Amino acid sequence: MGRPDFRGGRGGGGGRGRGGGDRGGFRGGRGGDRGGRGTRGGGVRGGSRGRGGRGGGGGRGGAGGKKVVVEPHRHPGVFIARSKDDDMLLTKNMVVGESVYGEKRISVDGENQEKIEYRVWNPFRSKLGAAILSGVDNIHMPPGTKVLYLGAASGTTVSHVSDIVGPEGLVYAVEFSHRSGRDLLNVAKKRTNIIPIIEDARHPHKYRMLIGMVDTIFADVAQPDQARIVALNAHHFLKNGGNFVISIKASCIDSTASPEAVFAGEVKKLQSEKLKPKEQLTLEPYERDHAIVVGNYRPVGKSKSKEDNDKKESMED
Amino acid sequence: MSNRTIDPGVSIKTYDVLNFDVRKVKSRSSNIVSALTTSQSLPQSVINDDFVKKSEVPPYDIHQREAKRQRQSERSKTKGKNWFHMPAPEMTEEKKTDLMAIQMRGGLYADKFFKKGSDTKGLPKYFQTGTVVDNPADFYRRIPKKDRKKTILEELYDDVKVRKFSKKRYVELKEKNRRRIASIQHSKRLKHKKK
Repeated sequence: MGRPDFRGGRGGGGGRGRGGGDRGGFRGGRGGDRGGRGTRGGGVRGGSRGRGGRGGGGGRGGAGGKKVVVEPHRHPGVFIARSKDDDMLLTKNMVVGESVYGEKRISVDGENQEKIEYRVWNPFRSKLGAAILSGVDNIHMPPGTKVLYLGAASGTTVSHVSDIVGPEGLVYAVEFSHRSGRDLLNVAKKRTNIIPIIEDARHPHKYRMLIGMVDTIFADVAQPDQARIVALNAHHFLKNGGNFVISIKASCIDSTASPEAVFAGEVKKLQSEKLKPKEQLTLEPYERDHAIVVGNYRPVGKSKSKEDNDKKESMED
Repeated sequence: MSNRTIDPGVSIKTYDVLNFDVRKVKSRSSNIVSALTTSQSLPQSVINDDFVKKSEVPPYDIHQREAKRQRQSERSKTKGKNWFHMPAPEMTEEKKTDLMAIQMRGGLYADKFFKKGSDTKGLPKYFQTGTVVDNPADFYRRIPKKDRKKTILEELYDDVKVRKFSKKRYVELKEKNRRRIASIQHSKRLKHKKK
């Protein structure tokens, strides 16, 4: 297995010694020329929904015509491109020839004329992307999983999740705001594995007939009662032993308390709801006062999980 | 008028019993047999043309260990379904130099830091080479057609900044080395004099 490909960053970045004005070592001291950054500084992004939307995207990922080498990342379904002067996080594009929010694409000279394309994943626009680059241990979304995505917004990260889970997986994207829901619908039109749900995540009974059992819940709702929302959805849809990945924005839950206290409080709340947090990390170079909490829901006992494994193996044979 | 005659389907002459030689004449029935046994009609059939020539009936099942070996070699050709079967390409000289250039690019820039790549030693086994796709929004940041290169190494050669910095480094190292050697030789000379 080995250690993560991109390391450091946990708890505010080891190994970013030389960054200078740039945020994070991912890009290696280039930075500064991102288009559309002005549109989403601080306050604009503050709202739970309707973040940045279009715009941006440019600047990151190098100029057209540059040569890169694409390698698999430690996380299943994720790839890295390395060019002569920077690295990029990638997902394999399900809809070849289309970019969702103006992100860069990388086409691969495949054998026997098949078209393979990757899309660049900007960690500054996606908490999940930021979590991966910050060195999260597991995102629990290998190809073929069913993911319930709460707080899908306009579908930028959802599109990458849909790339990761691939044609055999499913993404149920829940978003309350009609405005960004419109963009989400447009994304879902092109990608058959996204099921858009324009509904309030606080009321899972309203969309319960649309969703089957899911393997993983990703939540980026940024609401004061976020833990309750996640727990409610987990009780409805998450399988036993399933996993959750939650992004917590400290200022959205309690803007007066210190971020660490807020994170600890949220973790406590999750624990009381049978959601067992396993890992917490800050998204420091990419987002301010954000934390990602990854954990397990109603963990299956050791003997049970072993039986399952045996069953799986026998089935594979 | 000729179309009124009934076509029997066989040429009567072929069945001329007196002059019939099985080995020479390809009769219709033998055609049917060969058609049945050749691999065209039954692609999965074990009984093919050279089946008759074999001294023994070959085992139908592959040995377990052999099957496992075959599965393993088949599996190692791609990275597996978790990475959408990314292939292990044939390593050419160009690809090798490109991968090495990427591994060592940290020393080529004065103002850049690269995170360490994967922990596995040596070059990656599974990878693909690609190009950043042109986007009309970044028209003024693109690389014009005449400046496009085929490999990363060529791109590095063409980069003025890299060239300047590596030249500077080279001269520095050369100078440092020269001084070191000179000092060693000097001390040797002194030792020699004392004797």
